[in-house]
Amino acid sequence: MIARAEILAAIRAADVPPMPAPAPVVSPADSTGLHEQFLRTLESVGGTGGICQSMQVVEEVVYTLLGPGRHAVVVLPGRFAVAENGAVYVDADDLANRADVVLATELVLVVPTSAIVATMHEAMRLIPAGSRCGWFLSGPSKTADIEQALVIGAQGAKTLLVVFRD
Amino acid sequence: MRVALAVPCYVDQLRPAVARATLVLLERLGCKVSLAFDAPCCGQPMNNAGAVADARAAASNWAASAGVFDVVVMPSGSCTHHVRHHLPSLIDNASGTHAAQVTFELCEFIAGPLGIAHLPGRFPYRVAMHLGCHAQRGLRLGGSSELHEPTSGPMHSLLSGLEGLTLVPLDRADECCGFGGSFAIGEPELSVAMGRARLADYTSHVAEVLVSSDASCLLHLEGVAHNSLVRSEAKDLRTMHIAELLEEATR
Amino acid sequence: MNTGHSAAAAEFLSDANRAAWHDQALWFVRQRRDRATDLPEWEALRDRAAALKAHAMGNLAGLLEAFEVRATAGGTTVHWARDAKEHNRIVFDILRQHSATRVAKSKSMLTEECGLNPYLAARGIEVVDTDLGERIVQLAGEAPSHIVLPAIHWKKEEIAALFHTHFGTPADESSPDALAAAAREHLRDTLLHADAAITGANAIVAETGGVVVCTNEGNADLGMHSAPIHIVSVGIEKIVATLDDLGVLLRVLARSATGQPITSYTTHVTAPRAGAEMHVVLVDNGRTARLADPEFRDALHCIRCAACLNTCPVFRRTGGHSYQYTLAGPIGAILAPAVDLAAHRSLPFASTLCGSCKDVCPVRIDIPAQLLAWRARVAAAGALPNGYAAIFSRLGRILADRARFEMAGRWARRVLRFVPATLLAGRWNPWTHAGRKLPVAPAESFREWARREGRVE
Repeated sequence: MIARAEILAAIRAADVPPMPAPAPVVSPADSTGLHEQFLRTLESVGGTGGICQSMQVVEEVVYTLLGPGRHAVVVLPGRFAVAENGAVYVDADDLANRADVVLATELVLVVPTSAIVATMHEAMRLIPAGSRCGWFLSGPSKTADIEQALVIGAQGAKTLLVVFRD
Repeated sequence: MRVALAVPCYVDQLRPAVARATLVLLERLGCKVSLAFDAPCCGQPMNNAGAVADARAAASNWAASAGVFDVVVMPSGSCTHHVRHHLPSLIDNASGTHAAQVTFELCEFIAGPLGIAHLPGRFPYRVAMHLGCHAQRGLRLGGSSELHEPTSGPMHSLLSGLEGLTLVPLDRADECCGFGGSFAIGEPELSVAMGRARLADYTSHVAEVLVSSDASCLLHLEGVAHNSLVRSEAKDLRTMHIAELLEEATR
Repeated sequence: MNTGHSAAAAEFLSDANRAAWHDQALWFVRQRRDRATDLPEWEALRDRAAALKAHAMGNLAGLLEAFEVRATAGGTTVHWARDAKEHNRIVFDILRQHSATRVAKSKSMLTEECGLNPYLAARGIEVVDTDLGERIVQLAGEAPSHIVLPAIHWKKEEIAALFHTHFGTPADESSPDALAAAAREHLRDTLLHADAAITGANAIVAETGGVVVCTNEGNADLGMHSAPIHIVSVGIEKIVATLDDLGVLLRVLARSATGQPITSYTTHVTAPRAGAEMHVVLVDNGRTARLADPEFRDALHCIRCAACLNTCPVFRRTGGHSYQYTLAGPIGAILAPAVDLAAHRSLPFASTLCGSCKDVCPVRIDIPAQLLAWRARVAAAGALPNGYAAIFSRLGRILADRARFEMAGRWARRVLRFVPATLLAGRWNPWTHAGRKLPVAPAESFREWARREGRVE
């Protein structure tokens, strides 16, 4: 309690001039080509993706894109996708366990086709109010800590597939 | 146009040819050049070392000299940057603000107040351009790679306009040469290593001439090119200040 | 020149090949940053990022209080630590209450700053750093040398030898894939079964009471979502007001740090999962003091992207350890002197003030201005290194007066021209210390020439 009071008092005594918050970003009018941009960016960060029409077709697409003989595929729902960085937002409310996002070796995220935005500015407004936990997942897990060499698959998924479906 | 030539302290003593070339060039461009600018130093060496109090006398003297002129030209990006951004805070009165407003780096002056983007002239050589950091990022006299800007600015423009001149591409066009004032003697190994890296960039792109906006960078790079400890490919590189190059090209 | 940074720099540079390799490695990261930030709106984003940080620092108390209310409502326990010792004690108390003996830690420079690992180790708690780069330096008994790339100074053959010693992997297996796989296996058990997970936070959000953690490996998530206790150590300056602000931050952070549009994992967590505990320790440790100093306050805007490190020719060529402070590079050089001016007095001088750092900083911290301001503080404290105080005092008098200047100049030129180079040049002379040749001095100064020509009195 004392620490809290002291820290807050010290902050107030610092008398930093208040500055206005930056004005909210106005969303760009042009939202064409978002899926193309998303898929291109996803590929550049080591993921793969595709668009399809129904859940049954999703399963076919998954196995086509991942190839035969793949095991331990985990499919999770994504709320929406962000074109500028190939990220998909996943909310913990849709998962049985939070750790599922990192436990899968092969991870598939299924996103409603219409749920795509251009940038993080729009994305922030789509995060569910009161969300207890959520992630932006962009591509598989990776590291470049060894001489800057990119290694795909660190502690999380080795492959990440994003499928858009209606 | 009537201008005063303010000669940087180290140019006056160690590289007077740069000041002579500046004088000849400005007169050739139709300026009436006064050499009556008396103060020897703008105060930068002391100020940059943190010795602010020790910078004040030189700075005040410099501002007083600038007081009678409408335009002051300096063949140095680093000194001009100091005068424009730091000198006023070293001086109690308005002479500092006046000095900051009327002082220009040489290329900046030619392109700006004189309105000349290209000079008629010939310099048929492969040239590596070194815009000093204070000119580059301090005065914004060139495009910076950090800001995704192409190489540009008055010095670049003046060089590009010369017949036969090839500006060689560089791997790291705007990396610091390592002079940095007191840094050169406070971190000598690092200063020399940075200089060697720049020289290697120039020689690997087969530059015949290195041209710089600042004679201080040149003194350092020349010293590194003739390093007694490590042989440098750059021993045969001709080094010039932009004033010297432009003067020679427009004769 | 043997003060602080310059001595360490000389040592790093004595292995010229290694120094060149280190320089090139960091330059690649700078180039990736250039590509990822080449957006038409990039400069406008930097303006926004700078503004949101200034706004946060100007409303810091209110924002921290709002964060505390929301985080607490979600079930998180919020603690406040005035200094490093208090932070360590708070973390230890939480761990002790839960009989925790093995902790999985994920990237936190703040815990480095507080010396948490040795503090806990001395009290019988094993802390395993689970980021691959952090684990490498931990096994080697070193501090990280870079905020984002802790083991950038390690060659893969050296890592292979290190892993051979600690994991028994083949000594000659130095492919990054194999090494990363070995580390994954070695760290997996800790991540899945640790008694507690400690992470840092890239940001905390006042609007949601949320903690934001960004990684590429996914280790932070594996630890925090598996362990029964999650402790977040975060500096008070990491707060942003709203999710909108977080959005801006997330657009500039990874692009500036590694050249990625975003990290593989960006976690926003506002509440612990059912049956688990979450603690956030808000740490001051000198930040309020910095806040109170207008000249250096903006250094608190730092989002720890390390773009300034990657662009800095001094950092690239001398390595993080030469700064001898938790944080290295340009940001380290403006934060360290506030912690201990005497110990870190050489850092503001370990720079040419080239300005590259200022141009890459996503939150527009004017680092060169702060470096220069620190130099003045060092001088005012009578702590100038290398005899500069006497040198510049003398120089200040000489350069202020034409007559004195001309006389000194005449003598200096005579010495340069007539004293044999063998006497003048040498390791004792700082100009020639590393082999640089002395300038050739002219017989006449410009002013002397002008007088002779009748151009001036």
